[in-house]
Amino acid sequence: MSVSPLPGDAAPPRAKTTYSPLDDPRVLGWGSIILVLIVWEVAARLFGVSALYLPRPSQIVVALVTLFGSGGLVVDLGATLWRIFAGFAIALVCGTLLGLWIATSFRARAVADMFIAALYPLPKITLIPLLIIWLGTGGPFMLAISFLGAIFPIVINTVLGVSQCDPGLVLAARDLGATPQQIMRRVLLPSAIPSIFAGVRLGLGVSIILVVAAEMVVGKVGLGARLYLAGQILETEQVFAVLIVLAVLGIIVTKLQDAVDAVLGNWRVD
Amino acid sequence: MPAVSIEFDDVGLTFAPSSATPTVALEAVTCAFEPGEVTALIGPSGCGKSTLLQITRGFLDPTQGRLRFTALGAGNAIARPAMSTVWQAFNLFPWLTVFENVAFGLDLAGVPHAERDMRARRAIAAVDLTGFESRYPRQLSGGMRQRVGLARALVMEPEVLLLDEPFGALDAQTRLVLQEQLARLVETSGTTAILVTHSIEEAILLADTILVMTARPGRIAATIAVALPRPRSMATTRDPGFATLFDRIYGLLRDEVMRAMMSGEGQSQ
Repeated sequence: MSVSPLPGDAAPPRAKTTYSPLDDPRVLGWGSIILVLIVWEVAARLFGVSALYLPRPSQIVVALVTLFGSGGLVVDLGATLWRIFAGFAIALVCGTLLGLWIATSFRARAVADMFIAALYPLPKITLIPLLIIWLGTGGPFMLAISFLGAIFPIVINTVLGVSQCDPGLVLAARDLGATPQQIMRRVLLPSAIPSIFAGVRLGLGVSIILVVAAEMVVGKVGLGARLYLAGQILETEQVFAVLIVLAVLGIIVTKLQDAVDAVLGNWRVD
Repeated sequence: MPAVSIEFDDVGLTFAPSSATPTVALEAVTCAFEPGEVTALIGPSGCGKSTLLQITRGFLDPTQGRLRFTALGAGNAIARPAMSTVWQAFNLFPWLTVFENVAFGLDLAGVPHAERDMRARRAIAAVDLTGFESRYPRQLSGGMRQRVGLARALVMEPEVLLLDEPFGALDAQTRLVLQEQLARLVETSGTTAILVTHSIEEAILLADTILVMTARPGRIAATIAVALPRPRSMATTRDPGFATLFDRIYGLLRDEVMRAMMSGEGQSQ
């Protein structure tokens, strides 16, 4: 009598004895992407799809190489990265300090609760017209939009992290002679770091979206501007090329965050 | 460093005294903690043992009565002496290594690095944790974590050591080993120590004097001197003197625990 494997079994039993490349998540991940690209290329050639609607991967690669080589995509990428990370960095510093203050001061918290409740759910993209009126369309506008995207998740998660600090640790620090400032800097802040980092993940994501969207609306340089312009003149290969750059940017940012998370996880309580 | 004694003079603490339901945690506690001795506080749950410790430490202010600290041989009252606490929940900083945890208090006080490192290493050696300096607390067993807690307190060279159910979270075997180790460390350091405990056995093994407390509101029901010879160990528990003491304290406690259970106060902590 044979016993059928339970539904939902993670791996077939023979996987334990013989190694299959299909058990490696990296092989599966990259392999499936390459497979999709091959099918895409072959199908587009077979059915003769117009490059106006769907350029073949090989055509996109050519467009990418050209754009990077002489087309100024490097300048666009640099401008976009600068706008994202400068605004984000300011938001990180301000957001963490603000969060620490709100979490430790009863009054600051009462005031901030109202403002956060009012502003946090507001889609930040709706602020673009107002910010353009106030700041124009130059550097300060781009910094502001990136800053606004990141600051709320960072503040909220810092407050959360500090509030969840084990009161026993604060008592232990007081017992060892810590001043209120030392408690803030050496107990509350480090204990909130995993939570702050969760805010960083959310905030950086919103910053990227907002900066690219703002570039599409008003930018002359930047990935968003390039994307919009390419769409206007029906350069579909260029549209795809910029999308790929954005996707790769997303992958790099995510992987870097995973790496930081792994380091932070070193001391995290099981 | 002369040993410090602590006297409680009619100390009481009432939480929310002006509210409709004030909670009297401690009432008219008068007792003395002798210099260089270990005094155990034992009593039913919620009787205010830990509150008494917090008042001693200065984290809570009594609403009645006062405390007096005296340095041995000085006669006059002194300001609050240097104190360190060992906690039931260990309260180690999880993002710091063993070494950094032990050096934390010295670091805060701005002790020069060379001296800080030397003292931290010595304290780690005193609790037999040499070789584990760069581990994080989560990588250690419960017993090892509490030894870090002990080293972190002792490295400050406190004049008064406060032990708040230090072995309450440990299994029975680990507790025995640590009790012997703590007895040795306290005997040699000459510090005044206050031990809050639920365990009669632990109180007898470690203390020179045992204060038995009543159910809430906490008062001192009896002061019992432990005259058993030192060093004490598991062998001490077979001493006939141990059994006599154990029975006497158990008799006192049983009445109080029953009283606490009847009034439902035992569940409050």
